[in-house]
Amino acid sequence: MPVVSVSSERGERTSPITAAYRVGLGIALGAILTGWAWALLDGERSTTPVRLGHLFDDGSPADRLLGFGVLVLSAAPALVVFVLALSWWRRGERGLALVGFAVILVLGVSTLVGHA
Amino acid sequence: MTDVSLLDAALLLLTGATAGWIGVLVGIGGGVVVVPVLFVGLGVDFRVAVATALVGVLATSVTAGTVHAASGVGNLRLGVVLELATTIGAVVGGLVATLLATSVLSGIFAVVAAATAVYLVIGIRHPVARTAEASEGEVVEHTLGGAYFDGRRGGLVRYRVERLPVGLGISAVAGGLSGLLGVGGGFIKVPTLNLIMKVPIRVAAATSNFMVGLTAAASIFVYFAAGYVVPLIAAPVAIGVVAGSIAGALRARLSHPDRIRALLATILVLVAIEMALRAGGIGVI
Repeated sequence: MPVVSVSSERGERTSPITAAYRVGLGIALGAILTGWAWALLDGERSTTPVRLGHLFDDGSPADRLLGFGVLVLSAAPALVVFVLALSWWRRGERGLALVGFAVILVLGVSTLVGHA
Repeated sequence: MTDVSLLDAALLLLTGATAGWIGVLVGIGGGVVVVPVLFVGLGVDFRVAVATALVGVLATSVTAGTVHAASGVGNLRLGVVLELATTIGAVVGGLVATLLATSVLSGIFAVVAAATAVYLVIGIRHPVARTAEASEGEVVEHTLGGAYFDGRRGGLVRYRVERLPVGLGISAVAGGLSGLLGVGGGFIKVPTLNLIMKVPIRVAAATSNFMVGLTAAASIFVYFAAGYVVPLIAAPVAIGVVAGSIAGALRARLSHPDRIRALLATILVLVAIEMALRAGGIGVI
């Protein structure tokens, strides 16, 4: 049974959104699986945190790869909103697009809040 | 926890898988499962447990997004509008969490765990609210309403969105709790969308799933920047969540969601009691 939604009625393309999710999950999962296997093979047991602003300084190389995976996973929803906001902007729905960009701005601000 | 042994890693993997599996079947199971297991069971710092749970919530949302985005059932326009309030709440919640004592956070978690248990029990008895259905000409460009095909009714269901300001306010609170406690907030978002904003339950669940990923992203950036993401703890949980979500989706027809809801509600009541005791400095476990 086909699912018809307002998205398809309005001509919003869901394939770029699915692609954004799949690319994000693929890269994140690849980095996390590789980093975890690397850490286990190295016999690493440390619970050293990795900080966003020191992603390439903190911990072991395996930790950094794992941190990179978490970063990509965290960025995937933001990428989806960017794709949506861009499509709304192109279709003239400027108000909705601006709300989308504002959400991305809040996500950016959240990294600064954590540093503070 | 100062070191992650192989047994710890296996337990973390299992915790993630359980959270992902339950999350797919009953729509809840991220933070409310991961935080107590890590904090109470494995002795992980509360904020590290919250950051790890947020990674799990993200993994669930992104995994589901790879499948559900194509269906178009979720109302992404409404989701993004509500997320403006939710992400702000999540950032504030994440910031406040770094300032509050663990005992206070435990107390708040106890209240949220008890509320989630109540929601699960109510959900078993009253699963669907009325929808604000719209006439054919009503769903037009530049509105937040929508439509989806209902197989049981054999037609397109058009709906309006009601009480947007109330929805925005509650979304901000849900975001705050997500940032404070590492919960996805689906137990607040789905009833708000369905009972208050009159969005159909199917649309509410799909929209909530889209929203929890964004909310968790806003919170995790705060915890990540503040140094609460421990890769060797977060990695097995994330991998487990993805595996559990996929397994849950594949085995959904063979499972009994109502029994799982009842079991989860019972466990959450026990978690609420333990967290309340810990808030008072007398934890049992």
